[in-house]
Amino acid sequence: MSQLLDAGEAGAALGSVELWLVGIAILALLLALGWWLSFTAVRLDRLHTRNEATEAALDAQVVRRAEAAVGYAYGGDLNPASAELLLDAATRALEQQGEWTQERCDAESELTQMLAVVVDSPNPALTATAERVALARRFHNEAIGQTLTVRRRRVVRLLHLAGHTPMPAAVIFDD
Amino acid sequence: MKVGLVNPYAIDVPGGVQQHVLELADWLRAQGHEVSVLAPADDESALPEGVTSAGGTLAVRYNGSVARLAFGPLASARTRRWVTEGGFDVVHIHEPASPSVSLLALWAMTGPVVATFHSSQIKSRALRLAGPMLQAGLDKISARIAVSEEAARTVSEQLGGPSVVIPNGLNTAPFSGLRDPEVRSTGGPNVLFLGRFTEPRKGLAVLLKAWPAVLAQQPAARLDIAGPGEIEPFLQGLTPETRASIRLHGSVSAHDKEALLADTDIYAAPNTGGESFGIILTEALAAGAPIIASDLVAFSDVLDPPLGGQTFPNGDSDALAAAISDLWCDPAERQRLSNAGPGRASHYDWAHVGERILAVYDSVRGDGAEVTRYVPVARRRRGRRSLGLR
Repeated sequence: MSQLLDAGEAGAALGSVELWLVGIAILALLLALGWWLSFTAVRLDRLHTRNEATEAALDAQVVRRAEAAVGYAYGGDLNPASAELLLDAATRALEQQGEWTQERCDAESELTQMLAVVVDSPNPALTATAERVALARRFHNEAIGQTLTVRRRRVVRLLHLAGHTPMPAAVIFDD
Repeated sequence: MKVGLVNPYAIDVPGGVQQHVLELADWLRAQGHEVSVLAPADDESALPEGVTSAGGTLAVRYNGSVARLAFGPLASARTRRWVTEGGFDVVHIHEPASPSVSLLALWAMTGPVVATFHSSQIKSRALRLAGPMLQAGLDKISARIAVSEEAARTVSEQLGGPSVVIPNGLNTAPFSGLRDPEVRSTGGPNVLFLGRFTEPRKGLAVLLKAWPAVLAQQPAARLDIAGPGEIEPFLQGLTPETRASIRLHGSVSAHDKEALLADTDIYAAPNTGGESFGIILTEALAAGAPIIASDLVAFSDVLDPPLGGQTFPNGDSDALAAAISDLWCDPAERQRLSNAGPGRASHYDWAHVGERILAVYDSVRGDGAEVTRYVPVARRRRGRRSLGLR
């Protein structure tokens, strides 16, 4: 009987100070959670902005490389057969714009392989554009990789923290 | 191209990062680019060409040494103005994690941003505590450069992810052509030590401990010591004969440094740690001075021993003494090292390093992309998102 009374008193005590403390603790936890969720959403916005920028940079570099290849093909250093093949590969790469579809990646890989086959003496202008394509693709894929790490988190997927931005994918071709 | 460079340390205090930034700015201008440097400055009356001051600095302990940083409201306001008025095609930030104008600039901007990590000692505690704040800046970096494999390893461990390794640049021209083509083999070895010897990590104590053993084998040996600071505490306890073999040069000008490197038989770099990149080794290579260095990773990366120079176990004075004696007695090897040096140094010349940095700038720039003020997502109006693109 006395034990029951003790428990009742303890319950009453819990009803005052401790309950307040528990309430404050829960509130603090909720605030921290809210802050973390908003931080993650803002972070994803920054990461998406960067992805758009690195993709635009990659687009610019592949166009410059294809244009340099066209210039080289018309430059007179190549025999007509090699020149025609290089022109064909470069034009196909230039025709592919926009999304990085498998077709576009294939066109870029084929241009890389064609350049390796037909260019036998080092050409500084071509080397410079090729180096920039490789760097731009690398930086773009690094940015994508970091975004994917965040977007694959369960909370991010469950709460749609990434909004309507489609899931990014790495751009893979032979450069 | 319009390039903005951000340097976190006081521009009027000599240092490796400051020197790199100013020389990069000079090289870029020589290639026809427009360059503006943002840096803290304590004396705003004597700013180098094209430098915008972010205000005065405070000396604070950061990353194991005392650094002069700018981080107050004035620095913050001036950084924002520099970004807004600059109209840059690309901004290149040095030491982006340092709590100075580098971090302020990262916060203030969006667009094509390149960052170079110089240090191999990023404090993980500071990173953990400031994590979310740093992350906001780091997420805007499109391309990361590390000055050495060592620095790249640190960046990868602390921040995750790879970086492109591009070493610090060097003007090799002032160092070349000063040295006698034939190495000396009479007299004794002239050994040279250069640097701020008051910092224990520069390793002068290791060299001085080795010196009596060198003298015992080569009585005509001479040790040249050049660098700023109080030398007496280091020389206490040496015998009069040992002291007589040491020549003190004090703090030397750039011109004197070139002359000392051109004249020495062996350049000693007994540094015990804290080096992410051996800029002084590249200078010695350019001058054709045979090098004996401690086997720090950063030094081995530059020297690729034994091809570009010799190394000895870090801190081992006996091994250093033996290495000096042995190298002096092998004129053919010294001749080989002296001949190989300038070729190896050319990898670090601005002509080479600058082109590689320029390639990184190009590879982060979309057509028409430029650096603009960063507008936080909460303050953006719908449909008018600032993407750093136009």
